Amino acid sequence: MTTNFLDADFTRRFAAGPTIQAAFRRSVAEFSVTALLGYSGCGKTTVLRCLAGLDIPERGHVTFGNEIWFDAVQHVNLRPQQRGIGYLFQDYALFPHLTVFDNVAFGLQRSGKAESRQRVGSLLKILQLAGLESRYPHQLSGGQQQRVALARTVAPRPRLLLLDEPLAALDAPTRAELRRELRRVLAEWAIPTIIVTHDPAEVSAFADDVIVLCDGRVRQQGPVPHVLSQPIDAEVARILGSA
Amino acid sequence: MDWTAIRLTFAVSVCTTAILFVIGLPLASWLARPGRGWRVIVEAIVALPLVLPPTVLGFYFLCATGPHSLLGNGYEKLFKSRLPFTFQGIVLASVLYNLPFAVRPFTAALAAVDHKLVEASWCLGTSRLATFRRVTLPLAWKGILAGLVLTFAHAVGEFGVVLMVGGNIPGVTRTLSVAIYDDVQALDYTSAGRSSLFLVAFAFAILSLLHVLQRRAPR
Repeated sequence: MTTNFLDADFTRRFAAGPTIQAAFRRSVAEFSVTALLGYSGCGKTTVLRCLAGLDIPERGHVTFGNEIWFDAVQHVNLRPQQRGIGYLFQDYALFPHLTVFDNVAFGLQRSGKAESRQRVGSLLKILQLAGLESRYPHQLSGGQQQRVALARTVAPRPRLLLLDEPLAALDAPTRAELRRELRRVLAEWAIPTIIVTHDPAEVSAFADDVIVLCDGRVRQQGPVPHVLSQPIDAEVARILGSA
Repeated sequence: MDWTAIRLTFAVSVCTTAILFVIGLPLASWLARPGRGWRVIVEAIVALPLVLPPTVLGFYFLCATGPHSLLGNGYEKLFKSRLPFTFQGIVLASVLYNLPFAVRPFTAALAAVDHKLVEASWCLGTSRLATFRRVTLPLAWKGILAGLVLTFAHAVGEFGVVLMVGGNIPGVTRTLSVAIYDDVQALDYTSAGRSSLFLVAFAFAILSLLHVLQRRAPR
């Protein structure tokens, strides 16, 4: 039996909105980036929130290796704290009352002080944030806030990274610069990553696999070159070309 | 100046504020969560003292805690004492009457904290309680402080409920506002004037202090 997979098959219904049905299986044995691509409002963020445990599906299951994270039949639902994930919010959700250092160290409460200081220092250096430790989020540029949020997300060494449109809030030049940098640092940390995006350029820039969502359902999935060269229908081609 | 009444008034107010801080925060935290159903009913119950005359609340309190009531009987067996016309009785009545003055500002302050920050904390492995302490409280403290000050100031000036539940026993239930009423009844306007001026100065000082604290806060 293979155990190193993130296996998700669930349905999330909303009283006033579309029903989201997600079914996919991704290897988490080694580093890879999977992009969840689709138009705005098609349910990408809902899928990510269900994986994180922030939203509870009505039906289905989510397993990570041998662990059951969610199972509607067995009434199992692990809290986000128990899943060992890192979640980067679209608008970063930095704690406004804490400095850059305290934001990044937030998830390191169980580590010793020295270890925590060393880890935060090294993350800030990798993400070119050294010297900004004592600043507050409102004193940073959009790109710096994005990098602080990323450092905070990876600091506790999550087993799975979930990034919700990490570059969407940035201007075009900063986005282009961070797009290159993001792939480099993700590869350096070697944490399996699922990234939500509506930008096909981001898919080609740093994803290995892509899951195309349309109207709340998975329309096509597979390695990026394959999906890009052989979209299964005109809708997927449109999403890949201009989402 | 009736220093016994002043001491008693502050004792009642401090106890009321402390109790409402302890029970009001979890209640407000629950009310601040999104959702309907029970919350609407509980919100309405919490707000009742804002519109009810204090005498109505006092009347029901006396009925509920009298020696022939289930609650009053149980309390008497447990503590060998009664609630009406005692210090504990006026504190409890004051807690009920001041519930909205604490819970409503607490709820507004907690609801104003961006829920995404709370979720971000959970995703970093922080428990719900630790998230409340490390994220929600530091971001909502201005509103919580406002609620505490408002509760304290309102409890200091409490009259109707205290008179109904506590009567007018010097050193036990005779608070400053009851003493002023007594002085006026006895045509002792000098004493009533002194006590009234003290309450006006106190209310002005505490509201100014609150304003200064909130303006000085870094965020």
